[in-house]
Amino acid sequence: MATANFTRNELEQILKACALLEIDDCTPPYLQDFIVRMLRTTNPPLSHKVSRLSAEEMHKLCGFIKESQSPV
Amino acid sequence: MKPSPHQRSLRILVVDDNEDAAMTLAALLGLWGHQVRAVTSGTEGIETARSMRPELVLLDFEMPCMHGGTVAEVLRQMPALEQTAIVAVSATPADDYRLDRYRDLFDDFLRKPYNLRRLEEVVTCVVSGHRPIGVPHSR
Repeated sequence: MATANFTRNELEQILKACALLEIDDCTPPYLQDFIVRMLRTTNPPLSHKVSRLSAEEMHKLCGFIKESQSPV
Repeated sequence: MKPSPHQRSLRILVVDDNEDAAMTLAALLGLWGHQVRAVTSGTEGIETARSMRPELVLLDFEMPCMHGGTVAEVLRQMPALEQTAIVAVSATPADDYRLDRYRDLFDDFLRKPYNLRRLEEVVTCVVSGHRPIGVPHSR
């Protein structure tokens, strides 16, 4: 699972960066660049880490974000 | 760099007192290749619009000090912004009765959190030279 590469704190920061976006079924191609840009000033190492994700890892991360945004 | 979903770069002004919301839109629209200015108050929004002459304004409806509807009224009186599309942004639904008085000032409505497809639709509409379809009336 792609999210296993991230610590809980890192995942929380990624979720915070995406908090105002509603992610739907398909992973938009620009989502990775968006997260990288949002984290660039607040957490440069994490921003770099996200920038190196493969398309498949990004797709899984996107699924995680979507799941986290779903109402329980 | 991923391809931009839009053919042409727009001048876009984002006005939102919530800095995170303004940053989110600015980052996203910047990635799509648009020239974006983000400000966090209505008065700043009016001043920036005067000098920037944006083609699209994404305007938070509920802001302290100067309400988004009041900002839209001022922007609509500027001859230089005659062709500018003004889109209301809010966490409340489009049919919220509080929008009623200002509905005709806005070309469209975007709800927070931003649905990426809707945002793309709105921007694509302005890029293609059309004004968005308008804000639906409350029931």
